[in-house]
Amino acid sequence: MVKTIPWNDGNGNIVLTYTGEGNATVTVETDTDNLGEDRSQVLTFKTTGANPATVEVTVTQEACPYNFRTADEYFVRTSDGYIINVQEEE
Amino acid sequence: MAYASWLVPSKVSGSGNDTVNVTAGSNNTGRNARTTNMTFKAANCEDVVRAVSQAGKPEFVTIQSTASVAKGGVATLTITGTSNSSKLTFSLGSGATLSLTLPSSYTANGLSTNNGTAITGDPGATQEYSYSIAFTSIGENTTISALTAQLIVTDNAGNTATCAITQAAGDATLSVTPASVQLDWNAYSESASATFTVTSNTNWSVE
Repeated sequence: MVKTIPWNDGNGNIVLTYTGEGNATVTVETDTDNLGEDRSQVLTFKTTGANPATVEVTVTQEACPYNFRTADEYFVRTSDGYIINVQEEE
Repeated sequence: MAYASWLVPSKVSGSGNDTVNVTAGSNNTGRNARTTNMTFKAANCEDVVRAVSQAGKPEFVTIQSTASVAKGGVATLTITGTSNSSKLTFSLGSGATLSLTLPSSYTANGLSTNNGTAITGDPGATQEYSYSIAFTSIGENTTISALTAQLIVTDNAGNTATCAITQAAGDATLSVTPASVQLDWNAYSESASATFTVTSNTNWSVE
């Protein structure tokens, strides 16, 4: 199954893919890049039935750097979360 | 010679013609019949001896109907019963979900006896006896379901009795590793993901 949990900070969701049965893996993705600051969120795993066991884990998405470069372009992140493609003056 | 204590005559003396009724003061729980002699005496007469017999109890075996094991397991589980057989044979029923190791011996009438062999002195010939069989080191139930097994005891005549053994359901278990994961800021654009590994004995959810 796929479950989306809204990020408490910023836009988008944490996207979890799992079966929920016995021993298994949970794939953690996000449906948005993080153009804000570092964000983290606690998720709670819980068994079904009476007397459930619970485990808390943390998912963190690091912040976009204030400036970064790709193979052939240079970007700057503004304080309000915009990404500006900086062009060199000819 | 006096008659056995289990015989109860309606009278122990009298005069002239009369009848004496006899009853048993206790049941004969042994397999074999028991006999005692009553001696009638009168002055200037020869003693008259009459035998009284009480039939034996048909061969039987009983066992406690149920036994419970805590979810955490037990060091020793003792199951008891009674019988008048010369030999008892224990076995485990099929389809068990509780794994048990059948003991090679048990205790009958206070004597250690190998499973399926004649009991020393054959105490059941004369009276019923108690027996016990002990399972050791029954481990924790790591599932969330109750576990069951059957102990079957068979006497030398082929009679059987069954004890249903139940171990209570274990607790749900859950572990998740690692404690935290980190996604890159552009994990969406890069189609990057992280993984938690869950170990559990039941169904679970995440929220």
